Amino acid sequence: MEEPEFSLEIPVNAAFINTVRLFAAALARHFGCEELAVNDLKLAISEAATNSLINKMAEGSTTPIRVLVAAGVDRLNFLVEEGGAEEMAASSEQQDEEVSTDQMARILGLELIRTLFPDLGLMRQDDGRLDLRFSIPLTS
Amino acid sequence: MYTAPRLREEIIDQVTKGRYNLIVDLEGVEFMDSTGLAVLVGGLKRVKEHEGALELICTSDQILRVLSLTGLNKVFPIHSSVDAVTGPK
Repeated sequence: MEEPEFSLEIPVNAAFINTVRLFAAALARHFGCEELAVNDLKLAISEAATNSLINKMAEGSTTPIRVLVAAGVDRLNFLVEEGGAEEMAASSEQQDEEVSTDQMARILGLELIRTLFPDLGLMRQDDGRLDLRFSIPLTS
Repeated sequence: MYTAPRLREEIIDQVTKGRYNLIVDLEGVEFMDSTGLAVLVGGLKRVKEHEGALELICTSDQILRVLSLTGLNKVFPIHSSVDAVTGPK
């Protein structure tokens, strides 16, 4: 991803996930994205930020949830630190097992992001965290 | 994720009180993601254990899209109003 020009940090608190949606939507509209794409973006970024929140809460981490955005030539690139979930990296055989409601939410969230943004990527960092990135097209 | 726990608790409360045929009115819900969907699916599982049903009231394009993307529009009966489910009063 290009050097991010925009970033947002929010506390590890579900009440602020809406702030992530507002931030992402505002940027997308600023760069001229179509409204349908903005709606899809809000859904995907919400899923990713929620994953980050859940990961940090599980670790007992208080470091902020970070969302980074870089504007490319024809795409707006998003990265959510710790926005991935281990269920995303799990094999399909594992996902056939009985899952809890929380796991179901993670899997549904993954499928939503993948359906909306097929270029979804997961990046394992040296410290083990799973960052999530995807991009939306900019209308010319 | 912020409000989904309240919905979960409300569904659990209704089932505990012996109410197994539930209508969840999503009108006025501005946004729903997988956390909310999982609560609805979990609620459906709970009522089905008692041969009940869980139906939705929803006209929001955004939420209908999310239900469609996940295939859950084929799982939940979705209506445009409470009257559409219960009939006019």
